[in-house]
Amino acid sequence: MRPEEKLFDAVTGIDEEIVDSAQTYVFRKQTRPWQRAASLAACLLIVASIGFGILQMASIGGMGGSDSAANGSAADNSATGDSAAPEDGGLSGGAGDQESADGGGQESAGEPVTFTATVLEVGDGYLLVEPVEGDEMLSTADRILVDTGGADLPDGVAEGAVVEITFDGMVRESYPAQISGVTEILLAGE
Amino acid sequence: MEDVKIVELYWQRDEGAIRETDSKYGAFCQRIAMNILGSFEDCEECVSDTYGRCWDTMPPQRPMSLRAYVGAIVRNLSISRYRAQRAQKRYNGAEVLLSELGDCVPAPDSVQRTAEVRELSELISRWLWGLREESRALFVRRYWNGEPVKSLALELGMRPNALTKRLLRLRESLRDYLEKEGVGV
Repeated sequence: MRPEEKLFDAVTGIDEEIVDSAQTYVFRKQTRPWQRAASLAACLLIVASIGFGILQMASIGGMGGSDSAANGSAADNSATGDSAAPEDGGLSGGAGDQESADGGGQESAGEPVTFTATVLEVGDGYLLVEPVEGDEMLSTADRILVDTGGADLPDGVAEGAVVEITFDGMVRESYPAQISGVTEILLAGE
Repeated sequence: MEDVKIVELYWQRDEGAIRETDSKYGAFCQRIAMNILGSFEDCEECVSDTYGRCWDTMPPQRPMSLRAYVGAIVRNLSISRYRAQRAQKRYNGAEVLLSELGDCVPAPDSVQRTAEVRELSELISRWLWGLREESRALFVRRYWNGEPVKSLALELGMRPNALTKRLLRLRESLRDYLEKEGVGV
């Protein structure tokens, strides 16, 4: 028996308590200095925006109650010019949020989803795949068992091939994760 | 269902024990087998054999942690299958030469080998208990569960390269500990 094999076997026999606690241990994500700086900058930006908004509201309120012509014209300019900007910003931000929320909703509502993956195994009626680096599906699962029941496999689908898979969006949370409702499998780049 | 109750089902020879084990630890076992074998078909067979082994060994066994128990079984079965497959392939010239020369070396009897492995397990456990909890969990998840560096790095919020270095330092620490204890692997 090779030394590393002996060690491999020995690792299997370590204390049950150690094994058990490791399975439930939650790693604390390490944040890098630039991430901390970015978070701080984002917080400051939010605080500054809120402060700016409050000042604007106050100046609009002040304009309404003022009889001074000079004050009024100055505030008028700021009201038409400056206050329009945050309003637009708020709307477009809101629309953006709505869009992204809709996007997320579509996935969970079972709208078709396409992802790119490398084939690890071709079996009878299934493919075992690994989503490629950068594909969003990789954050869902690193191994996916694809039920190919309803889809035609193109020529060239073999171990190592990169394919684009379209399915109904439903992912079964097992290991490997499982998807069915596959409508199309294409060789990537076709 | 709680582990104690599932173990009790095994002791009562109730086949529901296997269903409960599968529902609670099926995915866990599949993940371990997949990490070692990389093939869904082989992994399915190993997991299925694991339940058979649980059925055969409880009783007399009454594990404290069913998760660790089934995990160790599936890991052992997966390693055995991996070795059998590697021996079958014999694709590598050096592999054949090593195997042939291995016949000339008097093999330690299996009792002695088992005792050596057990002693090594105890030492590794002792070394692990001396680590910080996070390092301990990291070592187990990498070398016991066989989880890929990429997914562990994601969980830790680290770059895979940085994690590889951290794992190297852990392995070096284990080597130093074993050397200090006078164990030659």
